Order: sequence, then C-alpha cells, then structure tokens
Amino acid sequence: MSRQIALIAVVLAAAATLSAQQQAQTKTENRSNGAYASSSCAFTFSSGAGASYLKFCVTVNGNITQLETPAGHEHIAAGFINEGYGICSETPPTAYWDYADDGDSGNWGPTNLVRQTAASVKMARTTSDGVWTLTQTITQDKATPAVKIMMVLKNNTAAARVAYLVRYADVDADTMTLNDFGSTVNSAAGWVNSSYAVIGYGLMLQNVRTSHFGYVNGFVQNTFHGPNPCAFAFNAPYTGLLGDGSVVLAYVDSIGAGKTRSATMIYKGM
Amino acid sequence: MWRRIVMTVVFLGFIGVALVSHAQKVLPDTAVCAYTFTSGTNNTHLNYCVTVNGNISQLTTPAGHQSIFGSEGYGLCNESPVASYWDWAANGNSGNWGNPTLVNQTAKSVKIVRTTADGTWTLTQTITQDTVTPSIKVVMALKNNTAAPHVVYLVRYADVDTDGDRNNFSATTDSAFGWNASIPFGANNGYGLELRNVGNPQFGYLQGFARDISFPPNPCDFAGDSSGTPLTNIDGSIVLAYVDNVGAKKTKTATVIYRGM
Repeated sequence: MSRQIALIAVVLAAAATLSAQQQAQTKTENRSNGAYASSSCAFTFSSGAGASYLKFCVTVNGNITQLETPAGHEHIAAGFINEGYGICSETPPTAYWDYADDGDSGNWGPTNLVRQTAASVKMARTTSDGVWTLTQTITQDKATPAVKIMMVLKNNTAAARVAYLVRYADVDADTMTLNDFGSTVNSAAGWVNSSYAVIGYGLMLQNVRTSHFGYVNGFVQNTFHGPNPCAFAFNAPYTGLLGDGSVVLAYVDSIGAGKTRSATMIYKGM
Repeated sequence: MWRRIVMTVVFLGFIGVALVSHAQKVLPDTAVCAYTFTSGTNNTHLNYCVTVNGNISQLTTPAGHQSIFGSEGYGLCNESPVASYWDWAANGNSGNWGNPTLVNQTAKSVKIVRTTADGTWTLTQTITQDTVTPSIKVVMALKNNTAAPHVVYLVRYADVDTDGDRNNFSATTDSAFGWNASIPFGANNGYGLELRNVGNPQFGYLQGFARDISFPPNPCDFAGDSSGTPLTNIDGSIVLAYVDNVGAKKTKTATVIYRGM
C-alpha cells in the first residue's frame, strides 16, 4: 500500500511538471504522424455469431484499429481511427506513442513480427533511442469474447527507470461519436446508454490479472485524441462524461536495469 | 425490430395490471449463504455465495471490494393471466414459489431447481465459478410446464453497493453495471460490478436497465424506475430482462455473468 501511495505521489509530481509543457505538444505531435503510424489492418481475427461475434484487426505496429462486437456493432473504426500505446520514461522525461490515425511520436524503430498464429499475433518494437522494448501479444479470446493484450516492457539500459505504460482507444460505440464514458481503477469504458426503447452497446478496456506494475488506473478522457503518456491523466474529468471522449489504462512502476514488467488487459463488448 | 417493438408495447400494456399483482404477501426469505466459492488473490480474487434458493447474496471482487450485500435474485412475469414470481433474497420473495431442490453440487458450481407454487414454471439455475476471468456464470433455464404457450419475462436483479451505498449506474442492451468512478488525482477506490448477458440468448428481447432505487423491480414492470441516462452517486440497482414466448412444455435459457469492473 505504501508503495502504491509513493508511486501515486511520484506520478502526481511528474504530471504537474510535465503536463504544461507536454500537453501542448500532445495536440500537435500526436497528429503529426511519424514515419510508421498506420491504421491499416494487417492481421484480422473473427469468431462467433450474433451476440458472441467478435471481429478485430491489428496493424503492423500493434494497434487495434477495428473492433466489432456483437455482430453489427463497431466501436473503433469510425472516422479517425485512434487506438494504441504509449510510454513515458520519467527521467529524463521522454514520451513515445503510437495511436494509429492520431499519429506517433516519431521516436520508434520499426516493428518486428515475432510470431503469428490463427488466434494471436506477437510483435516487438524498440524505441529509436534503444531505451525501451515493447513486446505485445494480442490474442483472440473466443469464449468471452474479448481481445487480450499482453504488453511486456523491457528496460534495455543499465539503470533502473520509472516508466508509465499507457493503452488508449478513441471509443466510438456503435460508430457514434457521442458516448457515455466511465472508469474504475481496473477499467475504462465508452457506451451508448440503453433504455427499453433504445438499443445501446459499448466497449470496455479492462486490466486483468494482478498487474506487475504497482500503479494501475483507468481514465476517461474528455477528448478523442490520445494522451501524452507523461501526463496521462491530464484530460480526465472528475465525473463521468457524455461526449466524444476516449479511454485510457495507465500503469506506472520502476523497472530495473535489463528487467521487464508486463501488463495484461482486454477489450470486451458491453 | 418489429418483434422487439411488439414485445415492448405488450409489456407496457400489462404494467397497470401487473402492478396490482405486485402487492402480494411476502413470506419469510433468506439471504443466508449456503454455498460459498472463493478463488484467486488480489486483483483476481473472487468470493461469493449462493443461497439455498439460488440467490447470489454476497459478492466480493477484487479482494476487499464487496458489491453485493444480500439483495440479489430472479423474477418471472407470466403475461397472461398476469402473475409475478420473485425471490430477491434480503429484499423478499413473492410467496408463490415451491421449495428449491438441489440437483447437483461440485467444487465450482451448484444447480438448483425451483417450481412456482401454481406449477406453471420451473426455473433451473446452474451457478458456476469462473476462476479465469474471474466471474460468476448463471445459466437460467425456464420451462413452461403447461399445455399452452405463455409469454414470460425473466429478470435478474442486483442491488449493487460497491464499497458503499452510493454508486454510478448505467446499462446497455447486453449489460447493466454499477461502479465508483476512478479519481484522476488522489486516493483511488473506484471499482464496480457488471451484470452481463453472454452468448446468444434464446429470448427474443433482451435489455439491461440501470435503476434509480435500490429496491427490486416488479418482474411485470421490469423497466420501472430505470433511467435513460447514466445515474451518478445514488443507491441504485441493476436489471437484465429477457422476454419471449415459451411453448407448451418447452424451455428457454438465458446466461448471465457477474464480473468486476
């Protein structure tokens, strides 16, 4: 518990310092695509039918740019297709991200396809400064149904570093830009609220398992743009949201020299 | 779509009649744990119990975050002639159920059968621990014991009180959920509980409802007290409702899960 409090304090202090300078960058740099950002489907998976239908695709860089569940209800591929991951190396502060149509930070190396099966794809990508390697295994869970993402972050340097690891999606539930949004410690979601006269579906991003990171939190963002990984809570309202927002899961911890930490999350319909 | 509209109109038409039937004598009830299941640790911890009547009267997930405190259960509405049957554990029962029968019990599941006192309906519940997700799967198989088809409403309800009485509530077509919002900066205690349909339901109508009161619904008026917009910081509850015609001597099945969020 004391470790978690200490990590929260570290995050808050860093966020306060970094947010002013880097939030401004977010609005511009996130949309100034680097050489590699793409929302084109490279690997497509589908399973089930009707209420248990799940179809999603993964780009060459590990973004999930299309997700339909149940049948006929798409939640990501609408308008600008924004989904992906970000890292903040706390000291010295350096942000790395790839949010598909919302751009990348331009400081990633190319992505290497490690393995591909009928139900999963595994890819690794190292930052261009060589500090971090992110290995993602994205797996089709036919039973739930859900998309499981395991993100393994390795510190390639000879010194321990604090890292913020972020997963983000511009949820447009049922391809509608105006959604309700809410978050808990373990999850963040966007949905169309139903009533007996209104059909509504949605998408939840949820941490699963006991995280290797000491700090985990879900956030709603009052913008559809991806967060600055070094100020991941900057756009989070203190209440729920009805708007064109987005969802974020953030993980924070120190990673030892040459060590890795992993985070596992799912996207599932709701 | 046409089928859904017809069902909605029919059910609204019966609300007035059904409200009268709701004022039935409530017999003594039980929220006492009869079967308890525990798995996982910390974020994967799941602890819950089932009563002899098939209510999930206590649910904690992840460790230290309890969401159900005695008021959970099931209800039926026989559309014509109108009759409602319910058992909400600590929130009472309709007094027109027979005794439950334990059909099967394993380390991970319990199967309970209960017939209405008039013999019209038999509800068979199989409640299973999913240690992987983690979640609780509830399969409800509803049999029409009569020689004529009947339209029935099948309802699952929970008074969600995650980490306290006041939560946020909302619903989609497939789910209903109560939660406490995570706080961007500061101490954090935001958890919640989702009640969700899984698989392709055999019922033609399915809908989740967020309710602005903690008390359970009349099964014949399952949308009563529900909200068309998310509810914040209230003592509410959640409902999943299924509606369809069940043929003579036939069975329809609905499967739901409870899962932390």
